[in-house]
Amino acid sequence: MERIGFFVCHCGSNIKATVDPDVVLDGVRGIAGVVVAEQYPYMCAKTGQNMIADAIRDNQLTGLVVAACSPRMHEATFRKVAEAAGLNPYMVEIANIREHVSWIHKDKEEGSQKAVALAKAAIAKVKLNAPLFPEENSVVKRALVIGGGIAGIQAALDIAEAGFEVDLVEATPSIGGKMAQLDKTFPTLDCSACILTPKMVDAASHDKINIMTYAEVEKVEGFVGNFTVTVRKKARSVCMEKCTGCGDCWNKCPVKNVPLEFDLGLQNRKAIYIPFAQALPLVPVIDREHCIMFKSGKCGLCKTVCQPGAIQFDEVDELVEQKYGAVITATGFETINLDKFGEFAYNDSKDVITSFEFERITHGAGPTGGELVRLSDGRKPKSITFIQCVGSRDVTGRGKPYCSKICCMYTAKHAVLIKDKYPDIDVNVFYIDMRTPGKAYDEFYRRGAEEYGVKYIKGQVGKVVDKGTHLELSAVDMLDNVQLDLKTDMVVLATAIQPTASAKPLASKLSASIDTNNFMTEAHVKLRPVESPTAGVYLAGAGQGPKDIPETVGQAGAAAAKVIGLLSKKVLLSNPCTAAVDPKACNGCSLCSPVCPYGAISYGPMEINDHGFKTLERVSHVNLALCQGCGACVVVCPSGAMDLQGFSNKQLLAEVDALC
Amino acid sequence: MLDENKTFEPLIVAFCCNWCSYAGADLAGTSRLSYPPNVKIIKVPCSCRVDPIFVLRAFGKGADGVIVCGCHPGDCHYSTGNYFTRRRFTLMFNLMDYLGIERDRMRLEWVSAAEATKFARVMNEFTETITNLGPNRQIVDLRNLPEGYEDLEREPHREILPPATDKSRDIPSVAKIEEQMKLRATKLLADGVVDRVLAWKKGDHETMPEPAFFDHPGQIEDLVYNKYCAPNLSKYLMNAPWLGGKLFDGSTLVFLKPCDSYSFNQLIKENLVNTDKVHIIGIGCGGTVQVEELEDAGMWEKCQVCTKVSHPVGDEIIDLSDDSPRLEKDARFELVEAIEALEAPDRFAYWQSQLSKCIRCNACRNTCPVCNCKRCVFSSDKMDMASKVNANEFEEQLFHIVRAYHVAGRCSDCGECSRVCPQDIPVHLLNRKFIKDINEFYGEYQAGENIEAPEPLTSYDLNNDGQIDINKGVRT
Repeated sequence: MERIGFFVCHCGSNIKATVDPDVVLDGVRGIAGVVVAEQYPYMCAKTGQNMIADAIRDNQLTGLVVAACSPRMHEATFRKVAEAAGLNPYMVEIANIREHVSWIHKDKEEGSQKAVALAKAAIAKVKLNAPLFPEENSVVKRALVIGGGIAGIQAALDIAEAGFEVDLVEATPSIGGKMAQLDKTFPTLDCSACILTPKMVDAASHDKINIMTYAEVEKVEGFVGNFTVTVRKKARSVCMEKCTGCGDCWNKCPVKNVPLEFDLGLQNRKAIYIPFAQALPLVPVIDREHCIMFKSGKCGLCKTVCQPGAIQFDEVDELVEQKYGAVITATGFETINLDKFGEFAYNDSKDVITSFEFERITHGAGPTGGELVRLSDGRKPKSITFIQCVGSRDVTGRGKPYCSKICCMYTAKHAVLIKDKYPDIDVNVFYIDMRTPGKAYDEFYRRGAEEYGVKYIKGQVGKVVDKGTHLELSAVDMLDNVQLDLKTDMVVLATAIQPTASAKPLASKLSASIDTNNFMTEAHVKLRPVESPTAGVYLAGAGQGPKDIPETVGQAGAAAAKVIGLLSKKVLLSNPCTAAVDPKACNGCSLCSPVCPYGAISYGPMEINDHGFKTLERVSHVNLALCQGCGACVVVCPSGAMDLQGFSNKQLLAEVDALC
Repeated sequence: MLDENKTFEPLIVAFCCNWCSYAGADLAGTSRLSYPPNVKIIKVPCSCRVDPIFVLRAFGKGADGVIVCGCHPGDCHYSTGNYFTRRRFTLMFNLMDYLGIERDRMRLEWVSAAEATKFARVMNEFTETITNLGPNRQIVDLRNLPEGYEDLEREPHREILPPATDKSRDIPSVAKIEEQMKLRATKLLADGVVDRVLAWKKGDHETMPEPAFFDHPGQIEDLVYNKYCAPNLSKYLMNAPWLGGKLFDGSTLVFLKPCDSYSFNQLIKENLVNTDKVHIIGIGCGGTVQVEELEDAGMWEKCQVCTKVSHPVGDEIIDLSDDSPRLEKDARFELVEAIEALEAPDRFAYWQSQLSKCIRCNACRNTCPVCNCKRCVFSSDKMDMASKVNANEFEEQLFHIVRAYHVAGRCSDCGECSRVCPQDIPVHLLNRKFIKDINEFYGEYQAGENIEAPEPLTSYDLNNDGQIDINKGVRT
């Protein structure tokens, strides 16, 4: 006979205000098997936990139901309490009477009755629970970091420093990411390269870090602690070992008109190239789409001049398979396409640029050598106008609904940098709201406005027209409520940022989830912000949500700490809520295998003993290390031979019966 | 009526996936978004864990509405779970509609962990819909004879469905086929190629031939093949011990009509026959006839609309019926369409009048080639259902619906279920509804035709499936 303990939490007044604990207790007291029914203001507090533990020991409870907050909050807590008191942790069920009752229903009578119904369902289920025991799995002591920007570099360094091997995979020819493209960083205005490149060198020279640039994740199999990942190393056409980075090849290359991605197309590159001078590894790549040798078979100039003989035209993509215990995604961001924002004349005028293009123009190694000039005529602008929220906080459906977060501060930075170097240039900033939370951020922005004379105008720009010698703006000053018609020499658009295009396919390979904007989803917004809901997959950088450099570095370190914690474990305990076959009921019809997303189901002969009559039969078998417990196979199994532990047919039907 | 609805508090069961919708419901709570307390949530790891049986059970036990919530397609925590959910419930909801049960009582919604507002809105809307519909009485009543429809009990087919036209095509070559079958059977037995023959033998009357095994050439004179040889032989070949497969040492010769060979091929697909031990001879067929009081009573409906002329599997073919008339168009769905065309209350009354005749003899289950489970859910204590004995009325109400769902995508439309029904319930019209919807929604699919083809309920097509409105059961 079951001996069930039932506990109602008040959650202070969170539950008690709209659910009467006495009514709930009265509702369950008569149920067969319920031997303890108690209440306490905070079941999750130490005293509440002790109350449960004592009840388990004193009454030899066989099952525990806590009517409290969502199981997503404290199921783990109460399972631990049960386990410490000698009850299998999977003999615990939670009736969610806070998120699903007290917080949504105002009427106390209705709320209390619903709480009773949910409590009864949980009791009906717990009576059918069976003790479950996790499997132990080994942990591969190696981590994969996907994305070689500052997030990936920081995470790789932190993990490597803890003594674990790290592979850092980067899609472009060099690590460095977006930060390498930046001129200065806010709020200190120190040079981006000065603080980034030493970290790049640290990563490249670390004996525990293996960097794979010009490479992409092709396939991911396995599960936490035991991922098997195939990385495609694209053919670089240059031997990494032989190349010295001397530059003879790219100096001689006759193809001169390929837009340089690193400079956002503002400067051209050769067909064999390094993206920027401090690239790591300092080994060029042959862009096969533009290389004459690959297009027509005639040229080979680079091979002729290469003294170490590093050029290898016949190189092919290499697939590298490696096992990892954990994966960090740090795929970063890109700016959105502005085709739908015709009013800003971005596609029509060379003098309307994005903030990232502005960043390259002011960069000493950029297309203008750091000279702030108009791209149309090379003239120094007399006035520059910044427009904020281009495609961010967009309600028209053309852009993104969210705040891109970094734009207010980088525009404040740009404005101050201009004013500092060229005090004669007029700087106007059109903004919707200034958002400058962060240490020393608001002070920085105010200094621009108050000390440097940057003119901030609350309002939106309706139209930009290129008049050749200058640009004309129609805008509204919302504070003075006047229409403004301005002339300016240059317009800089604070363009919304979005996750890189690679984020979505990568998420599906990792079985990690992404949100409607393709940002990686965290396991819990507040409490598990650097973990993906998929065990063993962690998140760093702007691929998880817009964020600036300090936040990115902080998150990368946090993700690395999680990975170090995981890799330090001797064994991992798996979720025991997996599918299980009753071989006596399975007829091997093979309906279940096609629906398993993990390839966890196979078929093989098994000796079946049916009342002493032994036969060898083909039956289904579930690999517990691979099964994640979704239940797809259980529903396709017509006979009920396949069942899901923790969510069995009987348990769920019992819940239905209890509610109906 | 309106006053009655005001006091009616519907019971609504919501199955929510742990990763998206349950979290969305949590967020609705955290955000203090209110929705009616009528909605009671059951947590499942994935929407693909929701067995349509759970939904039926909820209705059977008195729920007025059932809603299944999962992650948006493409966002499944388990990658693909909700793709299967989508197909299952699209078909299941359509079947319920076909049974005349208000389809607005059941719903499938995608709610992400972030969509607290959507969760609350959906639950508010759904509760309002169910409140307006009033209490659910239908599923519970499905097996009871409806009032005012007493006359339907006797001749339901004739009343509601178009009259059967006898398209009997008695082919002269059947006698010749029988002759050749005897020759081949005798020879293969005599040569020791096979150890036994599975065919039909004379029954108590010439209209009642029965399936039989022949062990030596001397018995072959009793082998018959004629228009009365309707029984599908494929299931007798299952090597499953629980169906007597353990007796099959050595090799067996079997004669399969075209429709039987589709069933047999499906069994090959499900790994339930050992083809190494079977020698198959496909035989031509001109249709089989039903018999009433030892007189021909017209061709079986399944044969009247049969388009199967070839054998997807077989070692040899004996088919001399090329001169026999063949149906040019697939008329299989005419009866399904006739039922679909009825108003919902009439559909409900029709099925109620039919299913209320069921005596749960299990003949349909026992003859069905794809009802091949070792232990049927209706015999399994796992589902809290008992075998044969009618444990409770609720079980009765589910039987035919669940059986139709379990064979969906696997049923080759051999029509044996209806043929063997002693109560003349057109059980196969439930299966055929699934076949029709599968063809319409997911592309033409004939179970047993190609054992390599993915089955409609264990596969998905992202480009196609998103275009089907699950809750309305139509292509958008």
